[in-house]
Amino acid sequence: MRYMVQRTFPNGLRIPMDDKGAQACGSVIENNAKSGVTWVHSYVSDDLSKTFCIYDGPSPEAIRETAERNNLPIDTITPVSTLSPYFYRS
Amino acid sequence: MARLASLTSVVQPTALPELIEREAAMGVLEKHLRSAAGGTGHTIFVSGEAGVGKTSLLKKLATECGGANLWWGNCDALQTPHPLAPLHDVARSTDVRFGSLLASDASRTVVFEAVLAELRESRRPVLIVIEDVHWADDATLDLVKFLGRRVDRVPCLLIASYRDDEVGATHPLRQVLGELPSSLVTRLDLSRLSPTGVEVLARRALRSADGLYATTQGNPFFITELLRHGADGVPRSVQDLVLGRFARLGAEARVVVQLASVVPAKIERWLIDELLPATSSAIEECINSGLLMASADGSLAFRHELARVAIETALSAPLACRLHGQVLSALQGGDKPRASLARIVHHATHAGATAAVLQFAPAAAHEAQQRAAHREAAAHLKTALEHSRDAPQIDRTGWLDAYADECQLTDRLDEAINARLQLGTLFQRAGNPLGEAQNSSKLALVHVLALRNQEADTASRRAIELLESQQPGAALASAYRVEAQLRMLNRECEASVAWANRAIELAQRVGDRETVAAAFNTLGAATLFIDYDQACAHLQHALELALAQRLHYIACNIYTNLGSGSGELFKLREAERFLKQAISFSQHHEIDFYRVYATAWLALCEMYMGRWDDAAEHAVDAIEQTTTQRNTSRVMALVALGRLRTRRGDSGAAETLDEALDLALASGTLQRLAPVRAARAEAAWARGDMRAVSAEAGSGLQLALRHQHPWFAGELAFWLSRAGEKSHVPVPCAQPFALQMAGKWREAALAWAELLCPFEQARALGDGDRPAQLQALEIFERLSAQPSADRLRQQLKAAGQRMPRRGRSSTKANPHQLTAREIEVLKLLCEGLKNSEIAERLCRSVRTVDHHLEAVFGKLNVTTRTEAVAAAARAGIHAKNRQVSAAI
Repeated sequence: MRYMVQRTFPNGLRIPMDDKGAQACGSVIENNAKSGVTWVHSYVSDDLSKTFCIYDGPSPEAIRETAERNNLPIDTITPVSTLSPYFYRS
Repeated sequence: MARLASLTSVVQPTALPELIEREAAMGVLEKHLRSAAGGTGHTIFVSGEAGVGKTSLLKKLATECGGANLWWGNCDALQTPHPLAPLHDVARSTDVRFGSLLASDASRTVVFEAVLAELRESRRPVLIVIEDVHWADDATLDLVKFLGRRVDRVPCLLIASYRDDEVGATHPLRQVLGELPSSLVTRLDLSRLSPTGVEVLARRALRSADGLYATTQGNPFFITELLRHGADGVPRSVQDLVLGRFARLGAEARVVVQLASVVPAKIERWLIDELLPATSSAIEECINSGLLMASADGSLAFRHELARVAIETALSAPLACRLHGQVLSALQGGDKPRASLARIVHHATHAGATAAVLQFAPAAAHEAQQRAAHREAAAHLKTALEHSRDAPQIDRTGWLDAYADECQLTDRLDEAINARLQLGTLFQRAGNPLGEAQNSSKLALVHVLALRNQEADTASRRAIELLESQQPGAALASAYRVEAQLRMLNRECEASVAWANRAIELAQRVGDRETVAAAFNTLGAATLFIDYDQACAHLQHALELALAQRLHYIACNIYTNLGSGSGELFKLREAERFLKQAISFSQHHEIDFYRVYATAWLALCEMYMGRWDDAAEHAVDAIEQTTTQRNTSRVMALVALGRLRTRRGDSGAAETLDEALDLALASGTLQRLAPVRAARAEAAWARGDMRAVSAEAGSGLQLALRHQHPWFAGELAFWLSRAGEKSHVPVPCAQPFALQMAGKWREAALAWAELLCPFEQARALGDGDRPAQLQALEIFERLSAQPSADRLRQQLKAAGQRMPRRGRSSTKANPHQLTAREIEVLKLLCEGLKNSEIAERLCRSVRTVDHHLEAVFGKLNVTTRTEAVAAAARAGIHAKNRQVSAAI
């Protein structure tokens, strides 16, 4: 199942563009894998206070379990599917 | 090590050829054997098709296992396997202390505990190999489960091999594989050889590899057989190859091979000598042909089970029947049977020897029962029944009764019901009202399990009616007890109490102590809804009686009744305590049904108490363990998960609660229907479908009022009022719901807070004034109850209220950002507990503990337990219990 996970960071989400940042993302990926969850990618609001993350996972509970492990907040988890503007051409 | 010597064939001095393409598998086995030697055991399942080389790999490991003790056992390819056959093998070939228990009628738990104790105390590591577990009996599968769950505390490597192509989706082995924790289990799937591997083998045998891969598809057994002996032309299959070799034998040797083929595993030398005297030259010919191998003890076996089956299936039906008959009479020949009962039944059935089947199948069933190998007991009884047309009536009824019991224990409820219906007709025809009544009472209990409550009521009443016209005795006491149970399950509490008291009075008078214990259990469970403290007293008394008589199943039931009953009354702290006791007691005694039921109820309690992560974990756990079952545990777990998803605003609530309703409707009882209807009303309210709220709540409320259940009636009436229906406070009604419906939000919130229900508390505060609503918002956001929080935010915003910032503050400072649950697990690890022990302590599955520890190791950036303890100490996290950690 694919999910859109919305998160709020009251103080803004700041991931440094260096080894530390890479390590942080790496550990998220690793923790996810234990519950069969994959972080596909995310969109971040300009003020860094909101993220919209696309995840693949078996259930909302698995998404929450990994979020807890990664210390990430969750507002909503919505099951989604892809809709392309050019879907009619294929 | 005696067995090891017997592995080497007499005529094959180089018995163990170099294995090809098995280095990786061998590496895994050796690694785990080393860590077993260090005290941390492991389980490995080796799977692959027949002939892929499972046995060869394990024999190789056995020769290289150094100082380890070897316990080697096989599961039989009998029609119905012998219970704990592998342990019998071990006891025959090795000097083990538990051997004497196998010969006694010690219970299965006692045997298992003895095996575990012996492993724990062993000074040398133990390598246990159980071959062909796809043929294992129930007791052996339970042994694998029992050891598999505890193996990390003993110096033991447990290896079980099976043919994966024989293990379909519903095979009992699947459940074992699913239930064992992943950190304690490794699966090794052996694949066929690659073309390169086949070439290497051919080169070693100084043969051409031309067409070899195409013929054999890389199956090692097929390849080595072809290379070893060549073949006439190109055989298309192992069967062609074996039959070709068979055809080249002389007449006498062929008879030996045919006789050996009807005996699974191996045929004893005395058996051959008795049936085919003076054939030693023929035997030699068989061995030289490579079809049979001789063991040190003189018995003969096919080089591979594939070869035996090839010969056996080629036998004509009359010949097979005659051979089985000969083996049967030889096995019966002495003063006492010279083989296991299961084996005698196997030959008797295939020989069509009705008298022998009727003599031995019931005895084999009895033996299986004693080892709690219920599937096998049922199979033997079925065999007996199929041959019982001319058997005496009294035998047939006894077998049918036992068969129904065994079917019930193995969850084949329809079979059990059919057997009891047949039995009822037999008793009626024979004019035996006592038998008919006892059967009818048992039938009632099966009907309840199958969620057919109406039929259950009819059967139970029939039993009482029949018995009351007789001299009162234990049968009547038991029938009263069953009726009390039915009334209790249906929450007709006062009726249940009355029946239970009659049962106790009569059972005490006739000295039936088991019925006394069971009836006190029912009495207590029914009284829970009338007088809680009195009920707890009854149940404690029942518990003492059950424990004193070692009635573990009843004791488990009592703990669960205390837990789920307290939960239904919102006494959540007590419920949690009893449920955790139920879980550890049932875990200890391997009574899985109650473990899962208590886990489902624990999930519900945690959901109410606002511990949503724990609730999700337990609910998912219970749901995963009941995927093939439609039972009460599953209903309760689905309700917990459905409510949780509704409250968190997560997807999947509807599907979960639809399945719950489907199951609850089948039961037709208040105890299942009311919670499901209430959860569905809440879900409908959350999506704004008020018509559905009324429909769900309305249909449940009727039933709840009929049963005078204050909590069910209270919640359902509450939802009706929320849906805008004119609804008055029902009688009886649990106080917090009554208060909230009367508009007394402050008192309602206080009541919910006292009951430890933060979500319900916030829901009541949400009805209040501005400060109360802000407090509610804070609680909802702390719980991550997003839909409720959003609704309240909108309401407050519309009223012009300035809003606090959204989002939770980040986790409290701790250097590695460990969560509370991770710290809890880490502390226990620091005490020196193994994963399985941590799981027991926390009433969690080992699987969950694995997850937490993996996360902890990642966050601490460590790879070993010792490093984790050191890192924990640096972070200021210590063992709770300071006797600590020399053992790590």
